[in-house]
Amino acid sequence: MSEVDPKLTQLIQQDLSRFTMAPDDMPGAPPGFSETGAGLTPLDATELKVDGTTSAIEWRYELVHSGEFAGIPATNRTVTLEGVTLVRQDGDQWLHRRYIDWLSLFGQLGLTLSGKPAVDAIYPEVAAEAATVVDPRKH
Amino acid sequence: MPGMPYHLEKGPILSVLESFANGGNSTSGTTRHNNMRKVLDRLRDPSIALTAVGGLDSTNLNGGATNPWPTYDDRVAHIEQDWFGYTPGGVPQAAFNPSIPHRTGFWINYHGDVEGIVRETLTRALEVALGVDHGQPSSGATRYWRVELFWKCPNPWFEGWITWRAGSASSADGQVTVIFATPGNGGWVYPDPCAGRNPVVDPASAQTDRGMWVITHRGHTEYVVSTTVETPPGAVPIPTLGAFWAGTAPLVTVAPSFGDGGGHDGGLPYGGGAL
Repeated sequence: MSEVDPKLTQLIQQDLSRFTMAPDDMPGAPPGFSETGAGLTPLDATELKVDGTTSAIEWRYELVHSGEFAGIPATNRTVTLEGVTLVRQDGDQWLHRRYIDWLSLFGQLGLTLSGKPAVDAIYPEVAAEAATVVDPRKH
Repeated sequence: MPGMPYHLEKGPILSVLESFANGGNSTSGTTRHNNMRKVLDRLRDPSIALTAVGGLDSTNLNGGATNPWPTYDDRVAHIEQDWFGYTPGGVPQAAFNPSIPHRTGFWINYHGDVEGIVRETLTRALEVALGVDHGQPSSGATRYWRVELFWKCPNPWFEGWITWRAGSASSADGQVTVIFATPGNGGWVYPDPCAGRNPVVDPASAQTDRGMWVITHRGHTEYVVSTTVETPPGAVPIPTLGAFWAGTAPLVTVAPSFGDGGGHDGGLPYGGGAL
C-alpha cells in the first residue's frame, strides 16, 4: 500500500467521466449524471500496487442523476457511486477494469428488486413429464 | 396462495374466495344479493378478523396430497403469517423500523399494511359490485355484479386494484375485477409457459364457464452484462438491473392448470358455513 498517485486518480476520474458526458450513440442528449463538485474521492487514500503494471484504488464518486441512465429518466437524486478500479498500463495505453456497486446505485435511484426467479421446472416431475408430452392439447 | 410459476394467478384459494365474495353457489339472484351484502357487512366489521370473514373455512380447500394447507387452521396461519406478517400465534407484525427493515410476511423487500389493503380492497370491491356508495348501509344495494379475483406479481409494493364494467340494465349484468398486485414472495416463474403441470397449450375453444390464458414466447433467455471486462478508458460497461430477458422462441397461448394458479371451468365453489 502506498499513497495514491495523483495521476492514477486523474485516470480514474477521466474514465468515470462517461457518466457525466452525453452518450456516444445519442449526440446532444444530456448526460445521465452531473457533478456535484465533490469529485472523485479515493477512500482511505491508499493505492494498492497489484504488480508492476497494475494499480488499484477504492473510490467514491458523488453525482446527481440529471439525465437518462440505463433507461431510467432523471430523478435529480444525489447518488454515491462506489467501486474499485484496476488500472493496467499496456504500452502507452491505460486499460481499466472496474468493480462498481451497481446494485447500490440502482437502489439509490429507487429501483426495487422483487422478482420471481426463472427456473426451467419447480416440480421435479414436471420436466420429465413435459418432455413426454407429444401433443399438449390432449391434456 | 403459495405463488405459482406464472406472473398472474387465480388457483384454488382465490377461486373459493371469489365464490364467497359472489355470495356462494346459489343460482338465485336474491340469495346471491343477500349473501354478498352479508359478506360486505362482515368485511366492514372490525371485530371479525379478515381470515375469519369467510372463504378460508371452505371444506373444498381441505385435504389433498400436495395441498400445503389442508386444514382451515393451516390456511389461516398461512394468510396471517405469509401475507399479513403475523408472527406464529397470531401476533400482528411490529411497526416498521428503518434501521432494521423487516419484510411483511413473505413479500420480498416490502413492509406495509397488507391486511389493511386486502380488507379495504375487498370491501370496496363488494361496494362496487352491490352499487353501494362507500360506507353506506348494504341495505341500499341495487345490484349484484360478479366479482373476479386475481393475484399479479411481482410488483415493488402491495396494491389492490379494482376495475368494473356494467353490462345491460340488469342488476346482475356487470363485472368487478380485483387484482392484488404484490411484491415477489420467493416463488418461481417458468421462462417457458408450457413447463407447468399439465397446461393446455394452444387452447382452441373458450366454450367454458371461465378461463385464463397467457400469450407469450415459448422460451425466454436471460442475458447478463459483465461490467468487469477490461476496456480502454471511458468505455465503462453499464449493467442492466438484473437479467435482461429476450423472447427466443415462437409465440404460444397457454392455459395454466388450476393447480399452477390457472382458472378452472366452474371455479371452485365456497363450501363453508359463513353464508
